[in-house]
Amino acid sequence: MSARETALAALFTVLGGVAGATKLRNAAQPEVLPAGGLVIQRDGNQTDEEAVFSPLMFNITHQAEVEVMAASEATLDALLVAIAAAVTANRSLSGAVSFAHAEAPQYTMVDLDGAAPVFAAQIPVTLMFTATGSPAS
Amino acid sequence: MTAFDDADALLFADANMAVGAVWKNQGAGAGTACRVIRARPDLTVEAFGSSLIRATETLLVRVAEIVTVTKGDTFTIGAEVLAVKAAQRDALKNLWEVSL
Repeated sequence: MSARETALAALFTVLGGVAGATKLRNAAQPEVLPAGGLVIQRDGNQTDEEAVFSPLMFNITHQAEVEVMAASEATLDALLVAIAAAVTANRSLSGAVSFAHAEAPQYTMVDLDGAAPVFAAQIPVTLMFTATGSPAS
Repeated sequence: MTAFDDADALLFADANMAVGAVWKNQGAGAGTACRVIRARPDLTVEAFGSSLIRATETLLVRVAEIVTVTKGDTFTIGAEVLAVKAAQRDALKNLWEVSL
């Protein structure tokens, strides 16, 4: 398994500890919003790399996106706080990365005629880890 | 009366298309009887990269029956009391399109 997939899987395991919400990774189909809220991890992209020689290694910075959706501002905020706390309490994601950091959320509100609004936010999660041989490995 | 008024009158009188309801201004008072056409589709909305399925509830009511529908009014259909979240009129100002 690549260092990247190890990191992303470890992040999803940590998100699994967030109580109340339904957690999904890379959900492709439309989902019904559960009462406790919905947390979807998107794998995201590498944002930076730095080569280190002898032996050849790459220090990778990867940004995953965690989308959070809830029926109220209070539920959304509680989930954002819980996600930030889960990452802060385990910055190595149980040894999968050298450093993990939850960034500031971006908010949006989803409204639809005849339905209650949905409050949504997206937290970029920065993952720093080392890959040997190639950034793709 | 235009042809559209006649058509609306027939559609809203039809037992298969419309149901009887009682509109109450801000949910209070005895209310006014009217006929409404309900629509309750599940629709999808986009939030960031994700799609959500949302149950929606809207209805149509004739301006000829209820002149003004505003946020906070209620429609009682049988035992259900539906509060108005928003209302807007159609192109001919013959119908209120009501979000519940």
